[in-house]
Amino acid sequence: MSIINFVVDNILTQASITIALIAMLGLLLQKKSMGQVISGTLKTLLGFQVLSAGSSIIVGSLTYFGEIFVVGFNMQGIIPSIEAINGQAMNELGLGRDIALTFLAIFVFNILIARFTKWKYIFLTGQAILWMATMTTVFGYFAGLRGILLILVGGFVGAVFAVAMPALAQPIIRKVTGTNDIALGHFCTIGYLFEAGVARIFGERGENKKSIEDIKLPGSFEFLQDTYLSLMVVMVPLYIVTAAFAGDTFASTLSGSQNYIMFAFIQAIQFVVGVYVLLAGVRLLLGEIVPAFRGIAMKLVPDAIPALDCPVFFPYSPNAVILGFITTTIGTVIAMFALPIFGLAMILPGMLTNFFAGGTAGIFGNAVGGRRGAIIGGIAHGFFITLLPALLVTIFNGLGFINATATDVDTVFAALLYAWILSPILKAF
Amino acid sequence: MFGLFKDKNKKKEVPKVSEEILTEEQKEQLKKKIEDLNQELKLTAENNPEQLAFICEKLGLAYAKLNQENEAISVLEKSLSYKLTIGEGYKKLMSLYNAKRAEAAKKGDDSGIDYYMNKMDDMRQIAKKVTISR
Repeated sequence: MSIINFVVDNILTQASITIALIAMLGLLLQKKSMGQVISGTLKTLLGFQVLSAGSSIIVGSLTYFGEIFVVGFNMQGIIPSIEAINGQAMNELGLGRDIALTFLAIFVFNILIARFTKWKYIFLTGQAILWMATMTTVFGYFAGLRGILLILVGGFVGAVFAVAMPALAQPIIRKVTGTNDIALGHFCTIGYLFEAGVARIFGERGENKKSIEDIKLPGSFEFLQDTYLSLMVVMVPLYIVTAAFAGDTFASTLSGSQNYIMFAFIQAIQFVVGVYVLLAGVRLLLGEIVPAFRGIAMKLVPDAIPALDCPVFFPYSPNAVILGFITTTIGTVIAMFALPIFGLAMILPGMLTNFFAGGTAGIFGNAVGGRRGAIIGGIAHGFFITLLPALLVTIFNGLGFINATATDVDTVFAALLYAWILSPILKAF
Repeated sequence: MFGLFKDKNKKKEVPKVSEEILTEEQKEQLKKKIEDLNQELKLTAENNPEQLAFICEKLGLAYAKLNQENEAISVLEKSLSYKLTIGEGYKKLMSLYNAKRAEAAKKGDDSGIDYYMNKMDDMRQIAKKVTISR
C-alpha cells in the first residue's frame, strides 16, 4: 500500500511524468519498437523540463518589465505571449499535470467527434492544442472545476473548438484553395472570420472586387524568418524605452551596480532566451506525442480532413499575407493606445502573432472583400485580437500570472466562455 | 454565421484534378509534352537551378494530369530541391501528399501515414520560408 501511495503522491503528481506516460501510451499504441518507446518517452520528459526552465527565465524578465512599466507609464503594460501563459500555468501555478491530461483528452474527443459525426476534421497543429489545453485548464480551474471533471470538460471544450474552427473556416478555405481536402487548424479562426465579416461589409464585391494578388508588392520581411530575431527587434526597444521612462532612480534599484539601460537591454534578451528555451522544450515535448496520436487519429478516421497550421495556406494568396501582416499591425498599435482610454490594460503588439494570424486573416479578408476588404478588415482584425486578450488581464492577474496575456483568439474565446458563462453557472450551484 | 460566407449560387463541388477525364488526344499531347520536357531537362545545365526547377515543375504538373502520381511527386520534389517556390507545383505536390496520406490511412499503413504527414510538415516550413523572403 505504501508503495502505491508513494507512486501516486510522488510520481503521478509530477507533470513531466504524466506527459511522458502519455507519449509512451501513444508510442505503444503505434506498436513502435522498445527502443523508440523508451527514447520517445525520455525525450518528452526532457521536453517538459526544458519548457520549465524557459518559463522561469521568462517570468524573471516579465517581473522586471512589469515593475518598470508601472513606474514609467503609470499603468499596467501586458505582453501578449501564449508561451509565457503556458509556461507559468504549467510550472508556477502547478497545473502542468492537468494541462497534459487535458491535451490528451482534446485529442481523444477530437477523434471521437470526427469518427462519429459528419465533421471529419482532425486538428493537427500540436502546439495550438497545447495552448488550448492550457487555457481550458486554467479557466476551468478558475471556474472551480477540479480533478477528472476539469480534464474532461477542458478536453471536450477544446475538441469542440478543434472541430468547429476548421469547419467554420472551410467555406473560405475551399474558395481560396479550390479543394476540400485540407482544412485550417489554427486557433485564431474567430479573428479570421471577424476579418472576413468586416471585409464583406466594407470590401469590394462582384465585378468591382480586385484581389491584392493582382498587384506586385515590394518589400521583404526576412527578419521574421527567425522567430527569435523578430522577437528581439521588438523587445529590446520596448524594454529600453520603458526603462528610460521609469528613470534612473527607480530602474537602478532593480539593476544594482549595472547601468539601468544596459540592464534593460539584457533583460529584453533574457525574455527572448526564455521564449527560445521554452519553445525548444515544446518542440521536444510534442515531437513524439503529436506524430503518435495523429497516426492513431488518421487510422481511426480514414476519411479525415486534416486541419493544418496556417503557413500551409500562404502559397494560395501570398500578397494577402503581407497585406494582412501590415494592416493587423496597424490595428494592434491603434488598440494599444485606445484600450487604456477605456480602462483596459495596455497590450503591446506581438509581432509573430501579427505575422501568422494577421497574414492568414489577410487571406480571408482578400477572398471575401478584395483589396479594400483586406485593408479595412485587417485593421479591424488587429484591434479585435488586442481587445479580446485585454478582457482577460484582470482574471490572469487574479490567478497570479505575471504581466502576460494569451494571444490566439480562439483560446481566449474559450477562456471567456468559461469566465462569463460556465463559472457563474457553477458558482450559482 | 454559417450562412454568412455561403456562395449564393449553391455549393459547387470542386472537382479534383485526378478526376478530370482526358480525351485520348489530350493524353497523347501530354505524353508528347512530357517527352519534350524530359529532353529539355537533359540539355539544361546543372548550374542553372532556376531553369531546372521550372522544367521539373512543368513536368510534375503534366504527370499529375495523367494521374501518374508517383512520377509527379518525384519530379515536383526535385523541382523544390533546385529552388523553393510556392507556385502551382507546390500546391499540386501538397495535394498529392495529402492524397497519399489518405490512401495510407485507408489501408491502415502507419509508416505511410507517418511518411506523408512528415512530408506535409516539410511543405509547411517551405511555405513559411518562401512567403517571408519574397
